[in-house]
Amino acid sequence: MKIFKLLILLLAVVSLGACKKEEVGFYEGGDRVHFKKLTTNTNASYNENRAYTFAGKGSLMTYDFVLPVNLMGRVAATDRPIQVEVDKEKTNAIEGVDFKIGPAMIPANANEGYITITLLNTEALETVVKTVRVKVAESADFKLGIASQLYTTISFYNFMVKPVDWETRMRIYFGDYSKVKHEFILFQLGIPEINIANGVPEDKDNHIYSGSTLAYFQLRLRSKLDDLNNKVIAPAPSDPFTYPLKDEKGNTVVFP
Amino acid sequence: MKLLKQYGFYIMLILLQFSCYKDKGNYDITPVDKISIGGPAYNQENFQVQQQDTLKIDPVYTFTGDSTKLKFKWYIMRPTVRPTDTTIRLISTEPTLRYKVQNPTGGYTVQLSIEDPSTEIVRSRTYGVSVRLRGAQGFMVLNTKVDNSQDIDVIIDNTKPDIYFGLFSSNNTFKLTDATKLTHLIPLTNPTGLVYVMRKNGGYTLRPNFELLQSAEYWFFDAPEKIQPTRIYQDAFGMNNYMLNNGKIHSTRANNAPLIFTYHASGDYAASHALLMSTYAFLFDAKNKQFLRYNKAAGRVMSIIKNPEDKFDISNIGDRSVFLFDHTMQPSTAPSAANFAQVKPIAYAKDNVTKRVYAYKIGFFRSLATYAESVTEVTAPSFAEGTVYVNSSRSPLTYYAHKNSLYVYDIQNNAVREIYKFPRTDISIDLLKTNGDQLLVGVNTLGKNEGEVYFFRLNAAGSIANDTYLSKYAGFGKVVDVEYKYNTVNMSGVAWK
Repeated sequence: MKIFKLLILLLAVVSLGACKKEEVGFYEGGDRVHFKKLTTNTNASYNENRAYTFAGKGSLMTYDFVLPVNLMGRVAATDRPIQVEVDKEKTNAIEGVDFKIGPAMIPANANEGYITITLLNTEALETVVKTVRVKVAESADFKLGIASQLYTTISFYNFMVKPVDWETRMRIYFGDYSKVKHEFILFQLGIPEINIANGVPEDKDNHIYSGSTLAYFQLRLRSKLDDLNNKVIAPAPSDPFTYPLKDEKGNTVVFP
Repeated sequence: MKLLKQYGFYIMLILLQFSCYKDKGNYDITPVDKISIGGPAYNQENFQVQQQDTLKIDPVYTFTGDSTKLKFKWYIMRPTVRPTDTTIRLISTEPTLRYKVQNPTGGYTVQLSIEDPSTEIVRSRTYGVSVRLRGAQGFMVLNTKVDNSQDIDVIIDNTKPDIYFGLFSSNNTFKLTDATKLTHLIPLTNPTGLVYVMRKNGGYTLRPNFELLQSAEYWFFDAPEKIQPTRIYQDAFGMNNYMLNNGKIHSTRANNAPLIFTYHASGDYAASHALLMSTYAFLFDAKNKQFLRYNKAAGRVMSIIKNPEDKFDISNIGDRSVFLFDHTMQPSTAPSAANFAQVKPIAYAKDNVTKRVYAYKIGFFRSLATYAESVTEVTAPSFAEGTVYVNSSRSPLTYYAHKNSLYVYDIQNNAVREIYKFPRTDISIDLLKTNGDQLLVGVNTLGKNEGEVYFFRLNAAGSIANDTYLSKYAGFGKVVDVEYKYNTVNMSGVAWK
């Protein structure tokens, strides 16, 4: 019985120890930056590959590709520049000729910033895919962030990539594929790319359209091309095409 | 120890007894007058009213005091509202309710609160009220009121005197303005039906209860720069749908309601008039003064193929403007192997220089290919100065109005006769419609937003039966358009045009 009482007393004393205030530690890893993962799926791994085409953009000669960057650490009261390096081994584009590194910073009081890569539309892009791989580098303001998110590769070009579902699903709306027709579609619809929702819901923000939407596009494009070919309407000032519209092989472009 | 526990228990028991002691108190007690409200138990269908009816509720209540001092409040609300909802409306403070219902259709709760001001005690009772559609079927009269706002009033039956006024305004929270035309579509593919209101710039789709469903930009998949609709057509099967907007013709990909019109058909044209007959869509191109045909499959407006038999150049009628393009059959008629000899599209065109009027008649071969059948000058006096025209849907006749008279023009004999003269001379006849048996006439007072609608019965010769009108409806603003609204799909083929 005495042993039992002693045991209770001992337990009570030990329990008091649990009430001791523990000090909260501070993050001491310094301020770090890395590229932002551009997906809402937290389980998805970071994808460093990005692409841009000048095709279908009319006379656009430069494009500012803005890469979002995350800050790990403290926000600051002033803008802090981010150091950017080019991975020359995996870059075939020439800085100053094909691209320029633009503003790159974590703005004041923000925990997210950006790196701007300005892509330049050159004649070479009509036949070659240029690639630039950039890396977040250490600087006086920032150390390196998550190791797997330090690089971004941008591929850019000025020609059309035929949608993968054209022959199987998109052909019934748009007919035979040609680069000129593809460019005409994108120019008239004012979108950078066109895809059919194959087994996934329509996602207009990402230019993935249902068959029903493509059918409406088809009627619009057919009417518009007919009127442009017959000079019923005048081409828009930025319209790069010559009418009646012929494709790259000299065939008349038609929509079914 | 055991004994101590027993005593303790008994003492507690004794103490507990005091809690049951009744406190007689020493307060001044004044008896309170009692309010009680009787009547039926709450049911959503306690009262059924149509829009514009007066909701009458005579509550059954008792009060032990002076009932003249009671305060009454009647509220109307949707059944699902919360107490703080701003849509709850106080509609009366009288002991009995007399409330003109101008609410949208649906279920409502009416709450009666009776307060005794001396005690501030309030007793409440709720009643279910079902507001039903007024004007499910009838002649929708689009008219412009004195304050230049517009409304849709409905003549329920043109053999009875009732008019339901204010069906647009009582079902919507915005004013109708600049409306030019009404169309009611109720095909097999949508037996509920929808009302289309065309405006100078834009339009609305209304549900059968006249409540706004959508505005005109939703009529199109690719909304055009200018929404200036002049015609919406759908056949009874719902399979062929057309819209004339800003001179261009549109059709649909699907037939489900509400319709979504595609990008306009290509071609060099500006259609002022269309004769729409199921799969056939003929246009008059006011830009190039020619008749054209819309090929839906190709998505193009095309020239009409010329024939050696043509009596006029269908691709060039000269400097003439068409003011009526229709056949003399029911509006649901479409050319077929059975009726090709009877379907004769006729376009009346006025020469822009000489002001003479010509009738262009188009015929169908049995193959349903068309040919330019004839062109004749209409020499009948006053025809060229008519204010409004409509073709008969039974005979080769055209009704028209000039000043305060109605005339009928006999197409085959190029002869005209006056069929009715209104006694008033300060009027303008601005609307003519027919269903073959009757003639509907919209008459407006000159210089005023004041109009009347007349119905005349037609005899076999196409004249006015008994030389007088069948019925007359007044009290409208300036009559702009009248459209018959069906409550079921009309498969009879007889319709107003």
